[in-house]
Amino acid sequence: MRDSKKIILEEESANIINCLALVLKTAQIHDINNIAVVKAIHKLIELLNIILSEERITLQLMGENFYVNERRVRHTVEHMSNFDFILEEFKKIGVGSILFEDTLEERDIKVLISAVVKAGSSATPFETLLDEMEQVDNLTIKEAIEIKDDISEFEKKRLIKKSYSNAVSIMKGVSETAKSNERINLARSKRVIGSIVDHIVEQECQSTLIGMTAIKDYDEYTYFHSVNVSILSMALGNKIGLPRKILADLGLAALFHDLGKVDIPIEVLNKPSKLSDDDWTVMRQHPWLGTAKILQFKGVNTSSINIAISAFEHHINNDLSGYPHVETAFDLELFSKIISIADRYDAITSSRIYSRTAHTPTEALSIMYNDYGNELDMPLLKMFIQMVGVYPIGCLVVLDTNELGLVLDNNRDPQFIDRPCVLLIADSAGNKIESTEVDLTDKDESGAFVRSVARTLVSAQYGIDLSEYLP
Amino acid sequence: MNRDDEPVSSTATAEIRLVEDIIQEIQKAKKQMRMYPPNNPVYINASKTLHDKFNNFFDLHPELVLKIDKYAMTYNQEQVYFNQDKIDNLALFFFKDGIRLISIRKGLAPQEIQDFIAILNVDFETEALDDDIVTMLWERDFENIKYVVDENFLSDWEIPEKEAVPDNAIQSAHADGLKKDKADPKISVHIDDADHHYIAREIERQKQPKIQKVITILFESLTHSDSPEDIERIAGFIKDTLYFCIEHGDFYNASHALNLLADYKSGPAKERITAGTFSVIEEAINGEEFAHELLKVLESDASVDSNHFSSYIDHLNPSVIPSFMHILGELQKMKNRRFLIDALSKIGRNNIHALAKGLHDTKWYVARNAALILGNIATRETIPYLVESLSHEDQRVRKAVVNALGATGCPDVIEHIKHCFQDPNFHVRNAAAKAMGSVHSEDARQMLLKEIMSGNFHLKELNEKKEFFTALANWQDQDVRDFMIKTLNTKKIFKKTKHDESRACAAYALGLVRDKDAIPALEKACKSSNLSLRRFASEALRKLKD
Repeated sequence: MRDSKKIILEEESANIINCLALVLKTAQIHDINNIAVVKAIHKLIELLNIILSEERITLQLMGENFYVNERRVRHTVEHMSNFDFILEEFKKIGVGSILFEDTLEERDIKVLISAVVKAGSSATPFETLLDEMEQVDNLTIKEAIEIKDDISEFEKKRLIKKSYSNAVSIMKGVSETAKSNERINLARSKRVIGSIVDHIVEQECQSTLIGMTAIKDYDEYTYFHSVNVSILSMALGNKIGLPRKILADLGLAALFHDLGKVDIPIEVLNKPSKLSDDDWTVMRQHPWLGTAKILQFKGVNTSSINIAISAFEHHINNDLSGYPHVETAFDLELFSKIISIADRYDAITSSRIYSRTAHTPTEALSIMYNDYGNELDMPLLKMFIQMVGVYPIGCLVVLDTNELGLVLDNNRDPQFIDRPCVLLIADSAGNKIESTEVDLTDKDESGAFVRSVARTLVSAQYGIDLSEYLP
Repeated sequence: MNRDDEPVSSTATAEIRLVEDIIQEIQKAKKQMRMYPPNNPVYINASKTLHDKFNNFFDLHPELVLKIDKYAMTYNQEQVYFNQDKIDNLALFFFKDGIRLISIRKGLAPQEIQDFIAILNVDFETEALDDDIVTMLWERDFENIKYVVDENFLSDWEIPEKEAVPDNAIQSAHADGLKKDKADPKISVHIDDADHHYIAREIERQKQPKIQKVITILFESLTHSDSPEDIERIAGFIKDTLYFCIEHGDFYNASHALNLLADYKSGPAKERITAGTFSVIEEAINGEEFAHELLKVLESDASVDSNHFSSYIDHLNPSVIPSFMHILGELQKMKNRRFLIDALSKIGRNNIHALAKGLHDTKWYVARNAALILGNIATRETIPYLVESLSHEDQRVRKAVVNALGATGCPDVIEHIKHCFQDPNFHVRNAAAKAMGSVHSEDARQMLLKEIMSGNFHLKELNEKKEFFTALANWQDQDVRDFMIKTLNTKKIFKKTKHDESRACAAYALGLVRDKDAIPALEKACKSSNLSLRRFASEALRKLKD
């Protein structure tokens, strides 16, 4: 039996961050003694003091995640914007952790909040915060430090690449087994998905993984596509706050969403020209074929059900305009909605099915948002766009300096969503250079941005992808 | 055990011994916890002992890190476990799935130990599982047990190293980029509260069971299938889905699927299907395997909705009877037996012969339950089978058989019940009186009167006599009332007490027939010196005056 105190703390951790955000947001608009601010402060104090009567509370930021007393805080979708807000405030001021040591009073929180507001507009934010906080004894603020993991960045990227390779290889193996109508074993697939989930929940690793999805191998498209869809689905699942076990279920369902294609003739699958009506008739069978394959080889059980449903539903569309055509009232499952977004995105950015010419990731998002808005689940699509960013990781970009680069990471500050980190690969004259990382939020002495994205290109068209630049 | 030759301090040696001790205790706990259920003292003790051993170590260090090799485990470069056997080898157990390091940390909870040992006890070799040990450890997400795996273990394949992007590709991209006149589309998305609430609802919905969706998909596909092979294949999936429902006690969805199947069979598709198309489903739901699952579900703590269960039962046919009769003998909980008795009473209505086989079961309670079921059905057809069991050696069976015969209300049973008036067991005799009372015929009345008027009737126990008079009260005609008043008024000198008991029973029955003419006699009886007579007479008077 788990410790009930631990459960309470776990349940209330997300509330603490939510309340803190509400206090701070209100205090940024009103005076600290304003009734709305004081009311919000009382709510926060009430929450904290319940826990403080039993133990001290450490609210710590590590990477992109908050930890309360060393347990990672899982946020709900409803509280996501408040989480992001506190995350940005912590980062802006350079706060690593806040230690609440003893029962709190209104004054303590008022000092803390006033100090955070003041620090936010200071040139030396963390120092300002510390100066202000000298007035209270039972609150300790520590500066954010760069966390050095046991393993190097190089090793981490190598592991991510290995997980990706393993996923492709396992997908290939499972597909061949399914094609020859032999029993499928999911043990290895589940295992590789577990390792990918572990990468996904770490923001930095997630970025690298999403970068890997820019790989478009046309010889073995289906395997790479399946893995890409799985990664993108899990990343979106993580964004909306699905717990890791559910993320793994989603990843597995996404990995096998196209399993039915093993029974589609290769000449239809790899047809270089547009598909004819007859080809489409054959192609439209793959969702059911996938479902049947899973049910045939895995039977009906809790893990096969999600896979079977996703395989069947991923082309039905939110407005039921897709295929297979269904006659009864039909609500798509969350997994299917997520997978269809990831599937559509990966397909549009590859020169497949929808168009024989690939689109840039930016174009793909625009097409999905503007043209397929009814077919895809709009709130989830918006989340997806926010997740991959205006310039998704792996996107080949030409900068206004005429330099060429690949998007390495998004900027999570909503203010700078169009200013990612870019790996420069060619100078302004188009000469290949030793890759260099630049941040597009960097400004020159006059306060103007040094570089901005001018336009995007289809990286696969030139055989350029981010994976080549990974260790 | 191999050891390095280097001298080690006594503290270090003690520490090594402690780790060796922990590993031995893990193996011991593994065996004990495999053999005993979690509430057994042996299991609890094994878990506690292991927990104590770990805590002894954690008094010295906050973390125990074990390096895993194929046949050995090392701690601080000292070998603490070595075993070259292929079976029951702890090192190999971890190593074969790619685990290379295990770290157990201070704070390890007893529940973590129990869950960890449960994973060690999974038989990955013989069970067709879709999980390996790493996935199981991952899914359990231990707070204080961590591990390092060799990712190369899963596949040797690596994404081929790409050749460096040729300069001309970069130049070409660069040139195209500068040429490109079309600006990139701008997207701006705003996620509002409504979006957040919607997604939160979707996440909640995701937690709901999905079997109904599977059923919908299967019937959608069935509707669109033309070929007999496809239909047959889907029939197999429906069967598996039904099994899943039963396994999870989900009788609602099981009957939902069977309703859809019935609709499909009687719908436009009926031309395309033959009698045998769905036989796989019919055979399965009426077969032993499903019955066995049903038994497991009923005996588990899962709550079963009686209406859903009843709807499911409506789809079964009499071929399920032998399996159900079998599990009826296995069910421990009375509520579940009642469920099944009701079910069999429905299913077996037209198959009495199959049900009646239960009367010959070697277990008395199965025979008794078979009689209860036949009693629920209570048709003339049950009589010959019941009669055969009137001489059953167990009185509980005989009693149920007599009740079942009475339930038929059929005059054919009078002759058989009559013999039970002489049964050595008074419960059976009481049941016989009651059963006779249920048969509304003149013969039955005569039979009861004859028994009451027989020479030795007054010698019976009070309760038995009361049962006979109660049965007789079913006839409320003048003859019966006169007989009862006469009995009440008749005083005897010899064996007065026993005779007064009979008078008391007559008084009681007069209360049941509500004969106002009996009031004077009853008032008189109220003054009797016999306690039973006084009590029954005043009770009857109360009823008559109400």
